[in-house]
Amino acid sequence: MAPDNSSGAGSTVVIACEVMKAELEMVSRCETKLHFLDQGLHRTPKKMAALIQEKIDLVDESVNRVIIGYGLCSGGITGIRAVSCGLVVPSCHDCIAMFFGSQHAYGQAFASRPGTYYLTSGWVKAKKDPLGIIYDDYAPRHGIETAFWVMEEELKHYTHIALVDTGAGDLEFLRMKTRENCQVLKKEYLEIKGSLDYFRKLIYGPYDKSDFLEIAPGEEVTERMFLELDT
Amino acid sequence: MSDCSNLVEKVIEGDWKEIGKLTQDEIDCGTKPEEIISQLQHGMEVVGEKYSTGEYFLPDMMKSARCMSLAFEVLKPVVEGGSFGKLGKVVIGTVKSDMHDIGKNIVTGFLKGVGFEVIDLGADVSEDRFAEEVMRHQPDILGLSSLLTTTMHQIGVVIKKLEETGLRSRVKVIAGGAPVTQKFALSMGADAYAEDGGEAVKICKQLVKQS
Ligand code: B12
Repeated sequence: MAPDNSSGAGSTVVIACEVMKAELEMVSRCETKLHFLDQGLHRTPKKMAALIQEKIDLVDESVNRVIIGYGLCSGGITGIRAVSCGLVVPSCHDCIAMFFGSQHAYGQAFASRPGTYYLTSGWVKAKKDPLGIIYDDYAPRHGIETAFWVMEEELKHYTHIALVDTGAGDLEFLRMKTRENCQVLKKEYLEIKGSLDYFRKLIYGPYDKSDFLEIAPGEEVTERMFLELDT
Repeated sequence: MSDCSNLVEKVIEGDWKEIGKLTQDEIDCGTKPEEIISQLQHGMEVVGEKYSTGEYFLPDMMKSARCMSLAFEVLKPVVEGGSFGKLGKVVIGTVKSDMHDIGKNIVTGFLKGVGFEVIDLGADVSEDRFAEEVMRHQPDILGLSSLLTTTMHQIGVVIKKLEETGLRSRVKVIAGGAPVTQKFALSMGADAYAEDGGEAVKICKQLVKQS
């Protein structure tokens, strides 16, 4: 990997969850190297860090900055570090904030209606919308009846399914899928105007203290870094 | 067939369809309810283990939990007047803004199963509501669940509310949920933490002894 000095700023590598692939590809210029990891990782946060670390360790020494496209994800990124360069990490607890454009915007939505299940292009594409999970994940192993029972139990207290539209993906298709989920699972449909701002800033800055953490070379990401921000 | 091996197997497989009948069979052949309960628990422990190693996923866990509660339904009349509700009273709920309740429901199932009376307040429960319900039910133990790193500080908020309302000394507080640790729970002012349903049973038994 030859270092990219064309911009003078040195090169940047992004290691991110596949869930934000479409958004990051929309905002990044072609010289930015993007690496994506499987979206299923978030179900087992305890195993995430080692897999992300593996990718960080592969980064060439000439790289000036590794950018992490993950939220804290239930501690899934705690312990990761880069030895020879700094890390930039979004300071949100879960990545949904990124699709909203800022932690502030997500925080408000979250507090006003906790019983909302959020969908974005990435979730729908990976068949991680509730119906996708039922048919693609649960049913092959447990049969369709049990698959529905499990999901209905999971969403028992949820009232809304909301599509967060960042501009990524085919909006009409996403609307159709979200509506279908609402209809079958008897939830209210919501559409929320999302944004690409957080993704753009993730790659190019500025790294406002309210939405990002800048980690020095050799330093580990800790849960405390995230919790301290709240108080 | 009093080793209940069939029953344990069904719990591990999450096969709830015959669990009620099998439980009844065990009762009919004279197996002690305590023995049946401990075998059911053993089954759930295996399931918990498989879940944490990634062999089992959420649906497996939920199927097994369903087996356990169906078996308890059958056992209930048999042990009525016996141990049910006699171990102590627990009020439990998931903290404000957090809608995750599967783990809390499993803990509730375990506690009920071994003989605690459990009042389940559901999910997204505010600190005010927790205090009101503690006032009303006078439980021995309050259980707080949180699955989100954004809501786990609510454990501290609830405990503060109990202090302000003069209720803190009357109830033991136990906290849990995937992102919560022993250290975190204690730093929020809780008396105890438990990693899963089996641990929760052990620790709640200790807590009622202390109080
Ligand atoms: C299943 C699940 C859901 C289901 C919840 C179904 C339900 N009715 O509970 C659904 C799909 C609806 C869901 C929704 C959301 N979820 Co969710 N979810 C999960 C998942 C995959 C598993 C949780 C679970 O049920 N585990 C199984 C049970 C058995 O385990 P457990 O809960 O840990 O409980 C055990 C112990 O912790 C303990 N315990 C639990 N409670 C208590 C209480 C006491 C007193 C004691 C002693 C012990 C104890 O005993 C239990 C039994 O062993 C986790 C990831 C994970 N691995 O934790 C994410 C996770 C918790 N969810 C997450 C997110 C972001 C969300 C959403 C915001 C997503 C969205 N798209 O909208 C919403 C939340 C809305 C809200 N306001 O709450 C994030 C949280 C990140 C963060 N901020 O901390 C996680 C960590 C996934 C991730 N890495 O991104 N989720």
